[in-house]
Amino acid sequence: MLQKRTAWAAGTLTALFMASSALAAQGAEDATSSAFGISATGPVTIEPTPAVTSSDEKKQRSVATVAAPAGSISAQALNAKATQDTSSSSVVDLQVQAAQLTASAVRAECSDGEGTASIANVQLAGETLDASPPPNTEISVPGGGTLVLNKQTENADGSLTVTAVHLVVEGTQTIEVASATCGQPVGETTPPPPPGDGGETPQPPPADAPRPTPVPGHLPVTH
Amino acid sequence: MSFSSASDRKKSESAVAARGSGFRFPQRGLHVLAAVALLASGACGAPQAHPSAPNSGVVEVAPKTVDADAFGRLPVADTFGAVPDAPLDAEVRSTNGIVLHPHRELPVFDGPGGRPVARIPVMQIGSPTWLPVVARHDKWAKVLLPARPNGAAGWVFLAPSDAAVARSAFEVHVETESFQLFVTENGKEIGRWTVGVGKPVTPTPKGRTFIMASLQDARQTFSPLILPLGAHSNTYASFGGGPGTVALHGWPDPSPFGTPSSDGCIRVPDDALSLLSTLPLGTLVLIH
Repeated sequence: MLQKRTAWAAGTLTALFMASSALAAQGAEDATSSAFGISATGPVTIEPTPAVTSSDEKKQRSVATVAAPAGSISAQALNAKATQDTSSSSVVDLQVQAAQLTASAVRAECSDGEGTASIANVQLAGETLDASPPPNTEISVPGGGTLVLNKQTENADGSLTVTAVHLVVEGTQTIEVASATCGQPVGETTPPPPPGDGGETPQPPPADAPRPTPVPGHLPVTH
Repeated sequence: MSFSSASDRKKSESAVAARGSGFRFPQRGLHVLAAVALLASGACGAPQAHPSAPNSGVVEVAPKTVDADAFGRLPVADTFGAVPDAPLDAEVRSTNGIVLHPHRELPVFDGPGGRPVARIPVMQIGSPTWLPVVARHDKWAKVLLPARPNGAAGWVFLAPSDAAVARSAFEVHVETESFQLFVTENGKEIGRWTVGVGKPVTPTPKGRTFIMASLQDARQTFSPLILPLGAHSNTYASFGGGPGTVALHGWPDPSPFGTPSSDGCIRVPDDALSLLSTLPLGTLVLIH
């Protein structure tokens, strides 16, 4: 049995919403783009900062410093920008202690459905990484965890999200730095489900769910 | 991404600093709602209903707004959490295999347009969160939750870009009384093994659950890989310092297979573990 191996399984919502051809037929919808500088979930929580969304005029927001308790995560000069079709975000002097990750500058750009990420002077536990990593470059973090550089995800509505640094450490702490999303239509226009549909028959069939990648971690299970 | 329109009108902020173990900004009105599908503009209260696409004939039920503070107070739907207000999944039967991965933390409601009862994180023990969809209603999907109690489920409103959707063609069936585990692909059995299940005093919980994560745990020696499920022991509130999560995993020797000998986990032979390790996260596990 072969299964297609995809990084983060950019599936579509067509299984639930049977959207594709009907969405195209709906005609021009205003696109929306968005971006944020840094975000974290887990024991240390940072709401996306700064964060902007735009479906027309240019929106920009800057924050001088973001720092988590005890300096565990810090970044400077965070910036997020978005217009209808383009968005970008950047931070300088990123430090994540738990992963021994530092970078002098981190940037993501998304324009008309294409994304790029660049990371200057990025070091992971003293090792220098590629400054222009190909999309979805995965690197194991010494001591446990996964770092994904230039993480690109196609969203259900066809928009693209590019996140320059996506880090998971200690199983439960996720940090995202410099994320930009573009090409997202506003105002979902979903065609109705077929009559009598209880959600049991997806059409057209959605993508195969991805084969999982085992992750180093610890959970005492009732063995 | 969706953020409240109020925050979009702000200009730049000055330096921010963290307080405590959570991270909360000192400025008022910084309504950066990280993970909430804010398509509805209605206030808390009765669910909003409004017509959807023209000529669709479907009346949408919009989600109740959840502000940042309320969202942060919702219990996290992970193996460590408990979601006491979540509805229960009563049916132990197959689905069409749809699984859902949130792109950001999403609120979970007790029904379409209902009360928020939990929030789903993007990761589960380092694996991306993939939850099985057991029912749907328009843009709402009912998913199984990996928190206690067993059978916890809830409704997620799927706005554009909130989640990825895919399909697992597989299901895992466990018949505890006959110690059988079999895997189906598109309904056809592709493997069957005799396995070990929980002792009578610490039984493997029956019900509908799913493969939650794929874990290489270097701190144990009984299995090269552990597949924690969305279910927990009904007899252990905690186990070994953990929340009592039930898992599929291997065992160093075949002695447990065909016997009720574990503390709740399902112990499987090596070739069963090999196959199980390839199944997508969110794959349904039906334990009878």
